[in-house]
Amino acid sequence: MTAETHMPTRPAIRFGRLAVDPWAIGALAVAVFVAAPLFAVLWQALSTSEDIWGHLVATVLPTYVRETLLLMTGVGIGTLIIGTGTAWLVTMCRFPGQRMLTWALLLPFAVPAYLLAFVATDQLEYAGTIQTWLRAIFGWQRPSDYWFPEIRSLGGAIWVMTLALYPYVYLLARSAFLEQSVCVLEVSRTLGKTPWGSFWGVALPLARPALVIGISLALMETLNDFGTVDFFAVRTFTVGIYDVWLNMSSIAGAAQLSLVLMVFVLLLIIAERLARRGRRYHHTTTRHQNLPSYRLRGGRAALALAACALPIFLGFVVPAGVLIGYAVEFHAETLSPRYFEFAGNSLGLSAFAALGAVIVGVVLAYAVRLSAHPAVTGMARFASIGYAVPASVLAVGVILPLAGVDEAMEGTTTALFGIPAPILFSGTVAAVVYGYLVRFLALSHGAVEAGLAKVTPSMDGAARTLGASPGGALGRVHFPLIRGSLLTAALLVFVDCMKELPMTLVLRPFDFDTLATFVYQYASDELFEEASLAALTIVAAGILPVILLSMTIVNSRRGGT
Amino acid sequence: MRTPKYLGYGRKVGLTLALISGFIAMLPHFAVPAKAADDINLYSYRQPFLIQPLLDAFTKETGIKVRVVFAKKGMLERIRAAGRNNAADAVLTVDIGRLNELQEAGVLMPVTSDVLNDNVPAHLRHPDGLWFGLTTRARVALVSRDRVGADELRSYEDLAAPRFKGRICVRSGKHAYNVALIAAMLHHNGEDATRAWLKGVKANLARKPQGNDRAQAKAIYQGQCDIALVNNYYMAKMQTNEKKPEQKKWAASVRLVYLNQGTNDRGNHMNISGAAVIKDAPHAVAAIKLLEFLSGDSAQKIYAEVNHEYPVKAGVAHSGLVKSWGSFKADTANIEGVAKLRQRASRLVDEVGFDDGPTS
Amino acid sequence: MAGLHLRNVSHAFGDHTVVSDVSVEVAPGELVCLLGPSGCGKTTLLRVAAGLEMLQSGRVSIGEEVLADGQATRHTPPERRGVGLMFQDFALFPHLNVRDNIGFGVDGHDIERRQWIEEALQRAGLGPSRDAYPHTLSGGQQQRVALLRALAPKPRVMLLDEPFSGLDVTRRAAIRQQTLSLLKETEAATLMVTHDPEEAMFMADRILVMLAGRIIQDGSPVDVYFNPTDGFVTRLFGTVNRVETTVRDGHAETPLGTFAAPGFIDGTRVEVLLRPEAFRVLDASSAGAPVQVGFEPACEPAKTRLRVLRARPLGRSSHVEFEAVERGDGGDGAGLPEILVARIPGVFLPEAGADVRFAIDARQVHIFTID
Repeated sequence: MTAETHMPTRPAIRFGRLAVDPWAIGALAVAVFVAAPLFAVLWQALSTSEDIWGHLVATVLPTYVRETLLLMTGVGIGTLIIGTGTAWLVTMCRFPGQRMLTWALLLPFAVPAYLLAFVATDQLEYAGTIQTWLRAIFGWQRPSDYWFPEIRSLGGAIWVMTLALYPYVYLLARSAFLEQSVCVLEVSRTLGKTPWGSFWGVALPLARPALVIGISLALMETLNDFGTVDFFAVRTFTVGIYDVWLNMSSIAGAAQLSLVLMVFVLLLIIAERLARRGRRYHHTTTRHQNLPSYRLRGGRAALALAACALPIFLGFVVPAGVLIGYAVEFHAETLSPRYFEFAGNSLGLSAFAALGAVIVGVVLAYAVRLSAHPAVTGMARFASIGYAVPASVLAVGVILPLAGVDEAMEGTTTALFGIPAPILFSGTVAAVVYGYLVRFLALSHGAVEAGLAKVTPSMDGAARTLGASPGGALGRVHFPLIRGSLLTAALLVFVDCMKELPMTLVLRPFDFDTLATFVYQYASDELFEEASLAALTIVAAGILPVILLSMTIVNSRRGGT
Repeated sequence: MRTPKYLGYGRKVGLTLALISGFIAMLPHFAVPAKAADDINLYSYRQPFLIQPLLDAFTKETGIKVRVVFAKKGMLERIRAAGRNNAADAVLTVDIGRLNELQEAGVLMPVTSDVLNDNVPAHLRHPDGLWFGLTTRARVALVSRDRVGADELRSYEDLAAPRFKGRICVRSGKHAYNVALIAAMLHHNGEDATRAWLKGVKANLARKPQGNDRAQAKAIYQGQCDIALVNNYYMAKMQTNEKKPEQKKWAASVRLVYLNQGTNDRGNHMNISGAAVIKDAPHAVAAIKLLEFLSGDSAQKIYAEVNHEYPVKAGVAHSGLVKSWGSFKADTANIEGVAKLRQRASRLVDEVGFDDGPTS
Repeated sequence: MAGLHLRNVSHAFGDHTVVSDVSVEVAPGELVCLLGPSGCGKTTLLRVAAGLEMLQSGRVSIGEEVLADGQATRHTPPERRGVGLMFQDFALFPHLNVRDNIGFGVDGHDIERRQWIEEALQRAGLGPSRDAYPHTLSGGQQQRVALLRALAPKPRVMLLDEPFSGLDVTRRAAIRQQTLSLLKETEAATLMVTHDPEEAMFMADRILVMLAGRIIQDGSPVDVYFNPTDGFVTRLFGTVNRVETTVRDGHAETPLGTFAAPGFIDGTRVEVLLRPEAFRVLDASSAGAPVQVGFEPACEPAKTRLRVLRARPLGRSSHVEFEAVERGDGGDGAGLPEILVARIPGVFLPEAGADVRFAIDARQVHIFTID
């Protein structure tokens, strides 16, 4: 046995003195692949000499910033209160209906904010059901006869987005409460704290990292939203970006504004990362007993039930009901063979993207776990900020590298074989899937990362010293252990892809519609009723994952698997 | 551990089935037969269901299929990025602004076609054949039958008059239709006058700019305001809306007023919907055929009858409803010149804070 | 079978050096303990040996085979090192049952090792639990599973990271015994990390005492106990009574007695460390307690009488706290601590206030220079 004969069969790749695992190289490649559109946006932002800033700063930018901040504050507080409050009630208290509420509270997840916005307007505007009814009762004639809150306003947008996004906070708050060691809560009780005192003093601070993650996800969606704010005439930063793009014909300016938006989001991401880092130290105890349950009776039970049911009612029951009403009324127009085609397209795209996003998420998160090399960690983080870029701008970012690849491929095959290669990416389904991947990687990456964080590093060490390669350890140890997180990751991406609109519009092939684009073409003409069945399908597709998701959280509490 | 086993399986099976069915559904779309087939690929800024009757008629006549992507942004970037690999043949827009933008980006193909030149009057097409207007539409005022006197509103300029305080509804000043109107005001009255005018209109608004054109008529019907600016064909669409009969009520509550009709006045502001062929169009010949068809008698008639827009082709009758509103004088200002003022118009909207509404 | 060789290994996390220039040799069949307080770098060293940390400088080899070289020419990944590693938290795979956990590192077709696993399961008393999942096992069972799992692939080197710290104290002794006999059956070179000196004394053929990333003593358990190289090593085995004094004529004189201090230059300030076990009771004048006589040649009656403050039975021995009755002639004022602690074998429970005469076992007294 000489040293030479036992050289490793697969030598590590080296840069100078630095030994880098092939996993790191692979992850770096994947990260660059996913980040290419982001670089394209950057490149676009820098590739202009025209200055739109002077005009913007002097005129509308202050409004954009103010309304964006107000919207974020409102949605942040709203989702925090509703998400945390309901999560605490259904997790720690027992009252009639509580079991059903645990999953029902996730239902508004299934309703895209723009649908909710439409339905809210439909019901609450001057001509809506509510006001018409009020006028009939009180005999008012004109708007000046009475006061009613204007739904198409910043306040309205805050309400709608809060209702659509609070499940993010609820989801994370609930799993945080479930994971909290019962001992801590009991200690707090023995120290003389009331249940409420324990909530404020112990449970809430312990859950803070999870809450920060939930709120930052909700706020990222808020920042990126265009449909709702446009509909409600709220002038956020994103609206400004599209205005610069379309009315000043400056995609470069739009890209520059997008970069500023990215800074906003980066701050959120940093907050989230810090929160997650803190979170790692939390589940040291594996002792899970049944959580304490405060049994509520009478008036308190009714109050708790009402508090939890209200967001479901407003965020799901009403919009779903309105949609069902329209779908029945207009079934002749909506139930066409093309409807099934669109549904198939939506399902397929979303499934592809979910699978891709999970694979990429796993590769990145696992590579970061394997080697804490700054290049890998940095790229993995950068690749996940697609969430932060307004979707249409990002879509343009997707177009550029794909067109480059197509051109290069065509050039190569023409030079080699004399025939141009077919266009594989630009304007194909592949482009749409790629776009989704870039946009939603943050979701899957985050979920996978959170899952992996729960697997103690000694598991890796044990598997490796027992002869498993990094890939082998992933397959034999990590996959089985984070199955729940992988499912969560896939479902989050799936549901978001089903709802996704702006990128699909720009990237899709000719004659190709998804449910969302189909809904949009009618909704953009305020002929929403015609698309109600498609809209309902988007909602329905969101429900099943929502239920599975809630089961996953509960299961994650039982034993290790 | 307490999860029932069957649930686990059900979940797996369900997910697997969803994935598999999705993949199968997707497979055909990964191939891109666009370049090979003789179909036309069309970028449309207009909802497909609005143009479908026209495209169906075209396919019936020529056997050429038309495949559409509808989007309001990103099309130019897609064309530009694709370069020689561009798959799009033609573009359909609802506003001169987009045509002008595409032209300035240099992605349009000059088309010389006797048919098009005959059908489309010279002032409604680009001199080099880069784009062609297919219909014109007038941006008119709808006024409350009860609350606005016969001659109370005569011109766009009037809208800034103090007597209309709190009585005007309009969609966002940033919408292409309004930007085009403001660009026309810039063209005729100059920047200072237009700024003052825009401020005046803003001060007269009944509410923050919102909704689409129809929503403004609805607001008049509901008494929120007395005057709205809309494209004229919406009036017809409301009057004939069988699916949503309440829109007939909205229409019944308003009068359509053409503006600036005085003997020496310039006439009502007009916009066009139009089409163009892409420079690198793989099926340019077929695309030109489509444009020719759209400017021809049968298509122009559909535009007039179904969409209630004004056909560009001489001799094609206006729809009965449109005729019922009476004849009017159209502003014949150079449409391309106006389009070039679009950016300045858009900045003006920012400057006066038009979309902030009447309060600030 | 070849031993484990770590040569001149240094390791840093960022700017923080945790291991500096450490060399460890473990012969096949030998069990070496790395003993030191937490944070002294011993676990890092173990991880470097396993290949879980990339070696930064030095060299790791098993026998002739170089596994890692700090000159960055070679890094054999952990899975190809033939090293068994047992973690402090056992790191059992929660999704695998006992048998699958143990069999994780063994090729399914390896009949011989499969056979070994079956036998080992029986011998370790895990037969009935073979299909159980880890979270249903007791701590001791989990420890055995972890050990067997690490041993199953027949590693050339076994690395144990605090293998007993997760166990109940009452179970530790028995489990240590079992572990030791299992390890001794293999011919693996075993390196074990612990912060518990008793554990190290019990298990180790050789003990390496680590402090702040360096090895400060390398010797047999007897060596480390009776010839500690400095105060730190002495204190590893528990509290000591400390008296400062100055060396005169090759002796350190203290109120408790005068001890030979060979090798110290006259006038050197020294600390004299007396283990609690150094005290031998000569008589207890008033307590009526049984006089414990343990005269040994090295013992010498002390000059000072001590008064009992408190006495507690600890089972096999008694814990007694004293104070000095009269201050002995401390020479240049070498002071006694206010409370002296003694550990007396058996039951010795004098009443508080009783005066006691005693002798000191000089082998339990260690003298070091004060810097």
